Amino acid sequence: MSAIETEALGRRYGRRWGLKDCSLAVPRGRVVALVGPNGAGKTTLLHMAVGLLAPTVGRIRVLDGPPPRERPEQLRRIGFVAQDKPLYRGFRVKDMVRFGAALNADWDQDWALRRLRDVGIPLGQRVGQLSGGQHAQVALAMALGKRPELLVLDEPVANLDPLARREFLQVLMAEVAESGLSVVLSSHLIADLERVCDYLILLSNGRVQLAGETEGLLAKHRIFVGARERAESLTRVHYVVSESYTQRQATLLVRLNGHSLQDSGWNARPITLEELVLGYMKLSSQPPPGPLRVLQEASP
Amino acid sequence: MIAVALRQHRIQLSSGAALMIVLAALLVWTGHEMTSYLHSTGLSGCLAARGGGCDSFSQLFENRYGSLLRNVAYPNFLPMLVGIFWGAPLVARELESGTHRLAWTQSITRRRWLTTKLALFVAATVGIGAIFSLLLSWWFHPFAQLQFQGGYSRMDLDSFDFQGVVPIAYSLFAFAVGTAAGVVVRRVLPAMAITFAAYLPLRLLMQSLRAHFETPLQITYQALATSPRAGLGDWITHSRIVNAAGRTVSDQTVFSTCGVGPSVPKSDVFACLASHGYHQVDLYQPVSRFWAFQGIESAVFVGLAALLLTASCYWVIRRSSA
Repeated sequence: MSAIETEALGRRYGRRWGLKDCSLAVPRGRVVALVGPNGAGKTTLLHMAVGLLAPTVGRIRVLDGPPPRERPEQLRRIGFVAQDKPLYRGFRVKDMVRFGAALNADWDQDWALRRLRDVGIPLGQRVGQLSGGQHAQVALAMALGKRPELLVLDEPVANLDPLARREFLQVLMAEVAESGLSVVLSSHLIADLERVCDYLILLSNGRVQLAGETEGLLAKHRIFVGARERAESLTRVHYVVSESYTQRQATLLVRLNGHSLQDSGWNARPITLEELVLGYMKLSSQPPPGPLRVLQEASP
Repeated sequence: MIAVALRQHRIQLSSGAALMIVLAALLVWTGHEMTSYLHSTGLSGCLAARGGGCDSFSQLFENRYGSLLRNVAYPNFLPMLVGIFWGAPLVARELESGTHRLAWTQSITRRRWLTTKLALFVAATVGIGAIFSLLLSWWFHPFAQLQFQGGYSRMDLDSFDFQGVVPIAYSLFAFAVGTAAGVVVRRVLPAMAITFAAYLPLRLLMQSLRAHFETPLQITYQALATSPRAGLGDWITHSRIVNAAGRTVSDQTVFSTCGVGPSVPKSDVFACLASHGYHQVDLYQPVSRFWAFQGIESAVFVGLAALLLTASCYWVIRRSSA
């Protein structure tokens, strides 16, 4: 049971690969953050998942079915909010609702109208005159109005001010709590998503660097701060994801492997999701210090 | 989906309708003036009697309204506007603004999305082409009745293009060029420019080939005289003077040999021309071929349009990336 499953998936644009050799499994019933630096292939992957793009190589399955491209029975199961949340600017909000009703067999008109009313968007308003936050809410209502099993959002909170960002995520979380919807959202700003995501996939250079439940991942990593000259004793035993040094001090992001670290004279503290993501991103942008091991959590 | 497409393109469609109304108003106004002139002067009665002798009368009409006939070349651009303002933005605007990512992730296939839009616009294009053709055929009617010197033929370049079924074919072709350009270049303005640049040369090329759709007929008669086929509505594609040996003689040679000029009596000129064995040779396409030519030209443009639209569908459904 996975929302998205890929096998050696790749997509080439001319000579450049937008995504290469990507194998991953996105579990269902979760809010999954797909993070990675710009150009990591997040959008390419999501576009293949919603049927906008056909893979060049490899295989992709969505909701345990074929990719939705040209398949209405799959398209109706997936809601998508593209980057920049495209809507027809010349339409009024009510025209957008009609658009959703006309093009989606499972459209829930009552739900869509109630949702728009709840967030205070007048139906007579022109889409081009909506504020950024309202625009995002309409885009979300369009994707949710078709009552999908899987909601895919590409950079949903980029370009939103903090208040609009919070409101957007609130609506999203309420919907997830209510319907058990599977959500995949991409972002390069993990801090925004820390509160809403329970599963993380880090994509870099088109490959999965890290995947797992956020709580599990956080529990498996620590930041160690200690004397610089003793750093080597730690790096010998543990896998160091990233390291930074001042003249006398070393700060190491370490993946725990069960060895005790209590009496080593290091100062350990828990890691934030952002630190974790940044650590692995840095790792992938440099030649790896050792064999690069991917930590893949089996979903329960 | 039809309702959505109508809503989405209502400005384009209503602008097209508005343009047609303006054109219709102009044509009805000038056309009505011409027909009432024909009737009030008695010219139409003279022509209906088929007794001839209406030439000087016709000349008056020609002096008065001939300039309109030349201005009517402007509506020749109308089918191209269909391509520029309907075809080019059809897919390109969505691609340019990113809304294709919204449209293509609803619960209908891209195929249905595109075929609905194409069906709507093809129907509107056929409609506009048909109205255009009917309006101008009616407008040309007075000219068709006249038999003034030089003759009017509905096969002439500036008349054939506005009548019968070719306006529909041109419009469909222009629309298809615009659509295909938009699908491939994915931006509205370049697609419009390509439509302009591709449509006109092809139209001009076909126009230059039209005289060869069927082998022209030939008629030989006394040099500089009125053709025995005058007034039959033939499209004279080529006219020259040959000498007794059948070689083409330049006009200058003819003029210098026989002293054609205002002071020379007509009979002397004709005697001189006859003594040198000069003859007029016209190549012409009889007006009876009008519908055959319409059919050939329409088939070419409708065929090209079908090809381009099929390619556009293929490109959008199979190839087009997000």
